[in-house]
Amino acid sequence: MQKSFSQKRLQEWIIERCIYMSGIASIIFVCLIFLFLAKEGFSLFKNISIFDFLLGQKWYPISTPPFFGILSLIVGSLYVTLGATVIAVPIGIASAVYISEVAPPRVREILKSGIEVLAAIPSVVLGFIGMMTLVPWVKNTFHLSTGLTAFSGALMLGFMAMPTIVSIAEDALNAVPKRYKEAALALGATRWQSIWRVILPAASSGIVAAVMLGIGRVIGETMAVMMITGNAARIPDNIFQPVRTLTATVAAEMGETVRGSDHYYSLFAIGIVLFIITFCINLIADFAVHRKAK
Amino acid sequence: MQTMDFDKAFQRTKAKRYFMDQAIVYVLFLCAFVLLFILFSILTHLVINGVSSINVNFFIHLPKPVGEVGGGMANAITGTLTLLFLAVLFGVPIGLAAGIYLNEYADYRFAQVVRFTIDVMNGIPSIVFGIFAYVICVLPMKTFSVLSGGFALGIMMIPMVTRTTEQFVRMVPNQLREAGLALGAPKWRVIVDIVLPSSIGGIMTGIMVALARVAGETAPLLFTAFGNRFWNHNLMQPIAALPLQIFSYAISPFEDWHRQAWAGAIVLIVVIFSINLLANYFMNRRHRFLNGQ
Repeated sequence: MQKSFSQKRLQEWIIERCIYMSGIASIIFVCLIFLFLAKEGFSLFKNISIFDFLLGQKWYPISTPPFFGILSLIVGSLYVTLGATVIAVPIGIASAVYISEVAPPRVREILKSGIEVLAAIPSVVLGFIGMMTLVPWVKNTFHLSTGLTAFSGALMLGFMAMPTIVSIAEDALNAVPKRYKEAALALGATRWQSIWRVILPAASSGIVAAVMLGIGRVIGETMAVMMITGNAARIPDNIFQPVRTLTATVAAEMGETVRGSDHYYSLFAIGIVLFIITFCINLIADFAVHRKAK
Repeated sequence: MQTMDFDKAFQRTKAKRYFMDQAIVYVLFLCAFVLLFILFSILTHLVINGVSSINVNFFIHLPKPVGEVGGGMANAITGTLTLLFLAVLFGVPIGLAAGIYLNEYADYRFAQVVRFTIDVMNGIPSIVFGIFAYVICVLPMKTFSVLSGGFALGIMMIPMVTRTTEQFVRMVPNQLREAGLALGAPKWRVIVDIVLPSSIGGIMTGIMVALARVAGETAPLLFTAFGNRFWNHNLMQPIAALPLQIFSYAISPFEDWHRQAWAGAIVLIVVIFSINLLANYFMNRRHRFLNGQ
């Protein structure tokens, strides 16, 4: 019982179509995600101007009249992200350099598996730990009325971004040909000189990508920030005040809105803002990697 | 005279350079040590707070109402496993096929576009996947459900599975493909019978890593799987999940619930570590396979 030739061709055609469809599935999903966000989110702009949305300072979605200004949320996200970046980038890159260039093999293995373990701890668990330990610590150390501040969030998210930054930066450092380092050392450079003048510049594009992806992770992080930044939707005067981020707003309010209300649409509009921010971050990371490829 | 000055100056800069080198290497070491220290303190904190609440009851009982001591997270544990199973059903076939497509079928330019979209998708915040699943599943079905939660986690797995599949399928030597094609096998047969079996170890690793990453996700489940205090055997109903349960217990003001949340956190981390260990197992087997043992 041989299948006829045309049957075989049909079978092959179907299978190849399936593979092709899956191949473009990611494109379809990304487009769908954006379309659905846009469809619901842009409905908001019939009632509220886009400037009032982006630059309005008041986020009172359920008062009468409601205010849908997300500037305070954007600033909140910015505070937390900048703080986390300032903490995570130097320590992360330094650890990556140590792991890839200095550490003896045994130490390297320990550090690498440690970072893997750190990356595997879910954000809700880190948020819980932050709530129980970091928040009281911040409150007592800086004599604040509450420990639920942008600073606590930044500290915690800094830890969370580190595994991403370390592992990608380490890959970038490892990709630098060994002969560069050997040439530098042969010319009499010390380890540090060869790292600073030769290896880091050669790996710079990968390190930029690592930093960008770390930042992307921090901006998109939801649970931990929701648990430890205090969720006050106002523009903070300094980093030791409660803030509310874009992601936390969506997470906290999505379940309580009525479908079709302005509040509901505004949460989708926040989703669009998040989507665009992460898209740009990936664009920069991708650009950095491809600049290297040339 | 001249040379002696030069020598002295040289010695001085040399000493300075070496001192600088030592100092900075020490700083680098400190940074790496800080990372390990944080990890260690997190883990010890977890164990100290949670281990006392882990007992048999924790694994076989439902959560108790406030005020009653005891109770467990049996429904949340099975809920998480159900959600992960659904996520694999949604995410793995598409991710796998996409990885094969990228390496075996796509032309270079288009593959670049697909890769970029995959990176974008990988960077989309998990909460946005949550909203997406909410609109696409929850609203039409008019109920929070297991399916929508599994769907949200499943699409989050796609980018990771695609990238690793592509990477490992690429490592299969072209001679193997050519041998298959020369025997008259159609391209898809070559892929199914030759390319996939020889890269299966790496692909399984990729799937496990992706699974480990979504296992701890809470944000996309908030308004899809939603959580449930009771057993649920219906795919169209809300279901409990460990991360959700940990979250709702963690933000509660009750001592008892906090203890439960610590225990839940330990169980969740153990689940994720086991998935990671499986990933390592497949990776090692792959190496043994490649070394011809």
